[in-house]
Amino acid sequence: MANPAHISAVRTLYKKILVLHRFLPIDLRALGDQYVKDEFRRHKTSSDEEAKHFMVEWQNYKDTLQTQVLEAMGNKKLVFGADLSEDKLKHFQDEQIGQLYELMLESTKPNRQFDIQEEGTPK
Amino acid sequence: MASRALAQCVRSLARASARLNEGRTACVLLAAAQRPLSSWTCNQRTSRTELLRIPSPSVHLCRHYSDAPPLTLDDIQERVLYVLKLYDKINPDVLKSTSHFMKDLGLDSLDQVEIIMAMEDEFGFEIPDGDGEKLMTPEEIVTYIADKKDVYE
Repeated sequence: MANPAHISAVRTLYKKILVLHRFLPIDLRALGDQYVKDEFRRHKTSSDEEAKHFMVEWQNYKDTLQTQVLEAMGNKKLVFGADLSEDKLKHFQDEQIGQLYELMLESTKPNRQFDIQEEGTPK
Repeated sequence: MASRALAQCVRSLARASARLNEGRTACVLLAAAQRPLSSWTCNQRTSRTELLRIPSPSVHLCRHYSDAPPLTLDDIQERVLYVLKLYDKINPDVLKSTSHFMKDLGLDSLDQVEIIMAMEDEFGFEIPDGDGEKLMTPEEIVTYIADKKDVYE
């Protein structure tokens, strides 16, 4: 999309997400920053409909993250991320679900080296 | 609304950052301990952008802008070009103060957003989105910052 209004919206969203990542633990921040940058660039040439879905999902991510950052600031709890719902799992291919499962196993090992908390992975 | 909520985040940062660091490993705690004590205090003169640095444990010393020597146009340009040379997608050899980010350096609008954020960190104040979108050469950034900081020569 070459629409100037859309470009402005994307830039604003991109910047807000990167700013919110500064409030995350350093390991989550590094992971998140890289993923956001890769993902936004992957979608530079997407169709109008795809771009619309893309923006909706990342807006939701920003809102969720902002809520959780506020909670963390208030010392209520230090939990980032959210579980994947059954509905969303249906959108994945079998191969992708397999990868997610392996990721869950890896990130829930008792003696993990990092404190990484993945979105969609139970803690 | 969102910016107000974000400002709320910033205001409560100093208090929460100590708690966020509690569960850190020893080496990270050591890094955090090396930070100047003054960087942990809430100071009305401290800019919002400077407060944003606190959550990240780092050995980098926090800048104290109110104690910095007066800025000159040359200082600003030097620092702007220095920050740009550190950006991994820019070739330092072809960088000039008149290089256009898109046309001459081959960057895209997302890269330009990251550059504006880096400038905010370097100079310690926020650049509104509307203004940031128009800054397309190092020269324009220098002019903008000089204008904001009341620097004329």
